[in-house]
Amino acid sequence: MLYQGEYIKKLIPQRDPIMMVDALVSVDGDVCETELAVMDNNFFIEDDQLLSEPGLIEHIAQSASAFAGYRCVVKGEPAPVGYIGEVKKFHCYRRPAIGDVLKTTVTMGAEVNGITIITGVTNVNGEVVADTQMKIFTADE
Amino acid sequence: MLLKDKYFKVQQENILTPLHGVYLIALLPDADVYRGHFPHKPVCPGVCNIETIRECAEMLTGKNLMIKTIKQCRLTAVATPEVCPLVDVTVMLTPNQDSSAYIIQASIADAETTYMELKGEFAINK
Repeated sequence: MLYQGEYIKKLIPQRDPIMMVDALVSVDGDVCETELAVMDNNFFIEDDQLLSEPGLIEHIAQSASAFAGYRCVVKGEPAPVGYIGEVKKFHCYRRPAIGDVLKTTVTMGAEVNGITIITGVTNVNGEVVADTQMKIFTADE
Repeated sequence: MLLKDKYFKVQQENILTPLHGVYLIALLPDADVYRGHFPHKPVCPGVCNIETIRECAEMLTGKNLMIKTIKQCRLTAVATPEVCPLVDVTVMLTPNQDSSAYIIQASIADAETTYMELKGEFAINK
């Protein structure tokens, strides 16, 4: 684990109740891995005790945000605030349940004019539960 | 529903056909999510607006819908409860071939600005 617990807050600007990454597990070039354990108090847990699909999108977006934050903090710069500009080709194959651990791989493309295209794939126990592409734009401030 | 009456409140519904509705909603500035998105700087999480579209589609159809596919969802402007306290959520549905899902086209906008445009496929009975 590279960053987990309180340290993940150095990488992403989101806070309780909408923190959707527990740990940045590894970084290798343009690829990172993250984790999130789905708890019963997760903001996106619905009445049927399963995670809603937008919760998966937010988890992938925050995984990319943690990756971007990591790249900045290792250079001694503050973590940027990123916004989702576009969600494309999102598929949800299964909604995760309480107790599931999401393992997500994010591949980051090149940044052009403050816009970065990423792809994210989320697994639970080796089964793909969601995948997507996203455009993330970074605020100037 | 996850966000109805917590993140948004329906002010008016305009059901044009059983598959085409426009919901005027208020974005509630006291919603819990703004404690964390972001501290001292409330910005509507894009995913909460996607969830709002899903919940409006569920109100229109009276069915539980699962977001199976988002072909494209463009977030064209930053929405906040201060910038756009009232927005129209427009939902247009077309049943797919075997009626297991709806093809959805939806938007969130006010008179001046479009905040979100979404195209996808929502499966029936999640």
